[in-house]
Amino acid sequence: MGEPSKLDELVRFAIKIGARGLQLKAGQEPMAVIAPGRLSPINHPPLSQEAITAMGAEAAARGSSRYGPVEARFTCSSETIAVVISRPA
Amino acid sequence: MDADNDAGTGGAPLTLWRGEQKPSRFGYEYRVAVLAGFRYEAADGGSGRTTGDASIQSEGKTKIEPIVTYQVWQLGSQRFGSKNVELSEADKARMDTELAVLEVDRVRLKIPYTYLGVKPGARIRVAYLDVQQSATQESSLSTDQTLALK
Repeated sequence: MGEPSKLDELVRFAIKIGARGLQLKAGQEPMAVIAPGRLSPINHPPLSQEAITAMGAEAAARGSSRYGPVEARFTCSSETIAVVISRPA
Repeated sequence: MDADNDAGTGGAPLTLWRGEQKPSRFGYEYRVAVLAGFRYEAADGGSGRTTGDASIQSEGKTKIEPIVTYQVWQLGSQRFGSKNVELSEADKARMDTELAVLEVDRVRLKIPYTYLGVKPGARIRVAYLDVQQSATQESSLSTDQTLALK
């Protein structure tokens, strides 16, 4: 299992604080998007344009297989609710 | 989960951003948080697990397995006032093998009625939110579904 990438690191932090996205600008500290128009610094050194471009390419390569939405199906048995979470085909 | 299928009761409304709008959904009593994590064995003979992590440092570990687990939260009247519903020791012990199972392309959960305060015959309302998806896009809270408990 490989080490987490820079993209993993930033997305993981954004998820942990409940952010809705990341704002990345070359030479500036990455910001978490808390809500439209509301940004919060995430205490990460500024990124170079090359690093941002590489992260964008990595995200695009992963595509929806990793970050696409999931769906949940619910059924009931005698005492439990069963949930199956998967990605739409 | 709206355990009494009544939008007029429940915890704090779920407030969601869609563009510049901020609509709210009302009446949910419980939130079931499904969390990814890892179970690992360390080179020094120890073992452990992480919860809520999408990645793990592999250095110093001899075995790493992805796992899922869930937590049940009873929603409070304030947005951050949720109360954790403690699972029984027996259910904690069977979490990995029966209650939250990670398969190749899906996650299967079983949530005992008792943690949601419901009984067979009740009708409940459910919706779900892909938190990871919401981190990169607009909110993806699903439409409501109504379940008739057997």
